[in-house]
Amino acid sequence: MEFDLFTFIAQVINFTVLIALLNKFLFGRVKAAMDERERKIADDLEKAVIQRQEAEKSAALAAEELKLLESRRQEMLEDARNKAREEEAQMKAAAQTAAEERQKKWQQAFSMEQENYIKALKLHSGKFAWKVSEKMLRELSDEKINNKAAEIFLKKLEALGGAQTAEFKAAVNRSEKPVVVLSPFVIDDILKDKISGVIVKMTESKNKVLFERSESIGFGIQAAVEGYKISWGGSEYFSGMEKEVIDVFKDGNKKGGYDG
Amino acid sequence: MEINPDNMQLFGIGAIKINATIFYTWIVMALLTGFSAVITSRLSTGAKIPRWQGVLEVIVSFVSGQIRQVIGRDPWPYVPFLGTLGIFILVCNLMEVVPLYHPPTSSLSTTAALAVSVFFAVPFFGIMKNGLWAHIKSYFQPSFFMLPFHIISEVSRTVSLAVRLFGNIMSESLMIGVFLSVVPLFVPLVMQVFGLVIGVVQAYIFFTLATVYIGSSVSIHGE
Repeated sequence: MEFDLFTFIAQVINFTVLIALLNKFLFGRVKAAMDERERKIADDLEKAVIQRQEAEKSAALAAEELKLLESRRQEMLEDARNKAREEEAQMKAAAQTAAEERQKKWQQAFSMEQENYIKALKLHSGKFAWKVSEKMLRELSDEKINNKAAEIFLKKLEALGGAQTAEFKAAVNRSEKPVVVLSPFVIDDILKDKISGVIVKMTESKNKVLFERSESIGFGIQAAVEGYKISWGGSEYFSGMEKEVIDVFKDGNKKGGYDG
Repeated sequence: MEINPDNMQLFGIGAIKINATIFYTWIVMALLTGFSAVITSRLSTGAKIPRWQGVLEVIVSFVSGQIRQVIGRDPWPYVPFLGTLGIFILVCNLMEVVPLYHPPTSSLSTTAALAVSVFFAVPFFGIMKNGLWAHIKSYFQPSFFMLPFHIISEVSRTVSLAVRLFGNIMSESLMIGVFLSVVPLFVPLVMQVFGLVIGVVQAYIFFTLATVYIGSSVSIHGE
């Protein structure tokens, strides 16, 4: 167990130098590197925390946005439902209107048809009644029913009231056209002259009176000028029948009131 | 057979005779410094670090962790001294397996130098931490009569540090020498392994005791 003072002092110096060297080359540098890495890790952790917070914020924002979108979606759905309801109502109304329109048209068509039918019925019934009456009158007397009808028309002209006469006169004087007397048959010349005479006397005009045959007036005689008409015919008698027929059309169970 | 490396004169620089103790100390110093300088010249601070840097960081972390456990405070002011002490003794002991190498720690001059370094380091760190007056006052705690006992304690533990390390390493070297001369095969190898274990344990003991002494010095009584 020998002790060498020189070696002892040298070793103290060596150890002190070694402390300085290792402090410089090992501990200092390694500590600096470890601190740097620790700092980086801490920074990364801090960044991670910040990113996490940002992510949480973003998630919260996204959730809020999602909520907003959901509410908007609900609003849009509600709007769509309301629009759909409105459109449905509009379409229903339009359909109803169209249906009503169609019904109206159909009714109009039906009314027209009915009118035409009644017109035709009136015409044919009149003609038929006229023929029957004519035949019966011929068989009953020697007078022609046509002449009788003309005579009745003549009497009607003569028996016209003051107001009607004034209107007829005004209409004749307004027009430069002649007064047209329409009938579905040929009027006897004598009766023609009588009718012309009465019209001229009534209107005090020099307008001619023309006699024309027309099947369209049905059965009877009509004097017309400037839209003003004086007529006598079966239509007056048949207008009652027309009403009865319309009533029957409207109500199938209704019985005609023309039995007697 | 020469077992004291102080007596093995290798060469001289003028009038100064360089013995094996000093020479091998320089070798160990050169190795430690060179190794550290080379590895720490390209330290990475990224997530991936080189393998050797990892080794150094493990060593430094172990040293600082041990000091923190014993002292219970920031270890970095004490790491250079205590770390150098532990690493130097460990490398000196482990290099025993190298042929023709004589561990400087088998010389009483070296172990005494290390123990004396610890002897002076203890008050140095105590004064640095608590101030001169507080450190001096600690020798009179719990009473004035404790001063001689404190001084005896300081001296005796320094001597025990030096002699313990010297005795263990020298005896182990001596035993290997004896076994080599008696049983040249196999047994010396086992003894070498045993010697390595003893070397590691002694380095750890010296380092831990030095840490405890410094720790007791820097800690305020009752803390």
